[in-house]
Amino acid sequence: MKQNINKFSIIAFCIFLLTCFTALAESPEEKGLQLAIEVDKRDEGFQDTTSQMKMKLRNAQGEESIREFHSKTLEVLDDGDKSIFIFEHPRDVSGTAVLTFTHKHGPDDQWLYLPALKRVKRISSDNKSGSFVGSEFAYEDLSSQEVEKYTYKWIQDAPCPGKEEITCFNSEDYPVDKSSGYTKRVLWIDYDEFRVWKIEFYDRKESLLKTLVFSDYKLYLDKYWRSHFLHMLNHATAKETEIIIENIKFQSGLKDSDFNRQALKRVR
Amino acid sequence: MFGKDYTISIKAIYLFLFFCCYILDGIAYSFYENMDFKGEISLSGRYFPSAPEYSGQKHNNLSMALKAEIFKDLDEQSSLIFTPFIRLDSADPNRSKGDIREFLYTKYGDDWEASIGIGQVFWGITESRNLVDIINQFDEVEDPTHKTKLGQPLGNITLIRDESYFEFYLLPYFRERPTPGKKGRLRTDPHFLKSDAKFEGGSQWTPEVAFRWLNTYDDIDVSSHLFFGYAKQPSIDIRIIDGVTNYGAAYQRIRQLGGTIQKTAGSTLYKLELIGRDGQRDSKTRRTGFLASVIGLEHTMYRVLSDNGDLGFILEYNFDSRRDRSSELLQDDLFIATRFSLNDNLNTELLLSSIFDLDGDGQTYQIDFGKRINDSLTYNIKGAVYQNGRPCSTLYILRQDSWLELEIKYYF
Repeated sequence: MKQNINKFSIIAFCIFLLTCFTALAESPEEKGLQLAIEVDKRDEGFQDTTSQMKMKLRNAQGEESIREFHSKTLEVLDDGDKSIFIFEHPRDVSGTAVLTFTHKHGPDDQWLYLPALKRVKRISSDNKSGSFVGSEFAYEDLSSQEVEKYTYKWIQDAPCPGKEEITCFNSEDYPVDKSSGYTKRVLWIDYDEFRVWKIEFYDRKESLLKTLVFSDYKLYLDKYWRSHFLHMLNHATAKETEIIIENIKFQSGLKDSDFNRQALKRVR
Repeated sequence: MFGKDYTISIKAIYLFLFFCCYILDGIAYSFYENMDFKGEISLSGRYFPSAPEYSGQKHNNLSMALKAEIFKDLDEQSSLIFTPFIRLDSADPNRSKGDIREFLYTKYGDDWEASIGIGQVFWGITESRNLVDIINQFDEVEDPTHKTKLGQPLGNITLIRDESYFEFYLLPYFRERPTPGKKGRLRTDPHFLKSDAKFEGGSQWTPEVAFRWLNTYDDIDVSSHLFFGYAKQPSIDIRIIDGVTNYGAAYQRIRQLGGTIQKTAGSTLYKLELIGRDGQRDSKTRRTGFLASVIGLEHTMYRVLSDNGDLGFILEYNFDSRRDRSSELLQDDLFIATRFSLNDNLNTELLLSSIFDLDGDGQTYQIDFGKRINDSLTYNIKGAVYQNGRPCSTLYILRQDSWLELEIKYYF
């Protein structure tokens, strides 16, 4: 009997040790994933947002052009979010809108509304690596970020770029989808509020393609941090794009029925 | 004489509409916060390299057009849209005309939408032509490529159940197809008379009804429709006036069952439009039943041109079981197109397409190039070459009418 108890406690101790060991020796991949899940959690429960965006495109010669649009996003708990982008400026594309159903697994569903023809066209979401309205942002840079869309690896802890007084974790993620334009993204995210401060994008040839810097963070509903100024620099072409986000509204009561083909024809 | 008066009255309407737009613009700014006013003015010239074939036709033309759109959210769940359009053409009085493209009141809830007024409805999925688009009449005199439609008086109710959409339409009034007049190019010889169309089996006010269902199953979009009403294509009704042969338009009541399927497989879209119709007269004026379809695919290669440019290929086969008894241009034709979308600052796009008749009845080559000049100005070059049409075919009628158009559009 006594021997049995001894045996049991030895096994229990071994299990305990093993658990401690694995916890201590969490691999960089596991740590990266845990942190990504935490980033995602910080955004949970926002329900819906609407915002106004202004894009400034600048080429290597310094010539500027402006794009304006607004967007609506609906949080979907068991799958990716739903969103609508509505173009306002330049005027020749005013009224054009894109409806996207993001999915955690598999390709997203996307519909384009062309107001001149009143046509709703189902389009391929394979163009995710393509430029969004001629800017340095690709569709995938602006689409809803889901944990399942990448694999992760923590690299190191470092001061946050642009905000040295707080500590960031520096990690890499790798797109799961083959149609992504990137092989890897390097991110800096702070431990305090899990805000993204900088992303470096590496192209298919594994060379640094673009750098995106986030700033002007504001807090909404005491929980959700949103950046109001994004700056993207393309290292290959020296072209830049700035996004200025204004008028973010949370929980304005958007419903599933605001994100279907019928609603796409009505958006303004 | 009549033509001159007509042009003057059109000019008066044009001025009046412009004035209305100007006033409404003022109202929009001062009174209604959520009223949306926009519009476009275009100037265009069409050049025909070959001399006209038929008597009375003018050589080239210049024209200007104005399209305005006034949109107002009446409350949380209803809206009103008004889109007047007017064109003045230097050559063809038939092309100088006004139309209300939309004047539609819409009310909607979570799972339904109802609208009444004048509307535009697009059902198609293919690129070479849209067989299933049966609600609106094509504005052929405005746009020989059948992308522009006349406003259609209609009432519509749409019910949304899960992923299914059920649409019901009632069309109280039939719009005749506008065709070029005696002075216009791209027409038959003789041209169609502007008035006195025949409505076989009813009048212009005989209601038409349509029902459509559509659904999405993952990467497959499916739709199906039923239509009872008039065929949108006029058949030729020969009338002798003062010993001269004239073409009158005759429209027949038809029944149509049709549908569309699109599979979105990565960067390739597979598409099918299919209709079965009976009651319409063919080119031999016999009323027959027929099947017609457009089947094809669209494949896009992303970011292969310059920095961000996409290159797309479209291949579509157009079939019509009436074959040469069909008066449609596309009845046994292969449509091959290449689309260059540079995705640049200026939104540069070029679509080159060719249509090959597999019965050996000629080819059509088309170009459509568009570019932005600045934030409120764009230009567009379009054109078509009609080649080797066999005598008596639809293509042969257009043998001298290959054209090239330059259009500049100002948006406000």
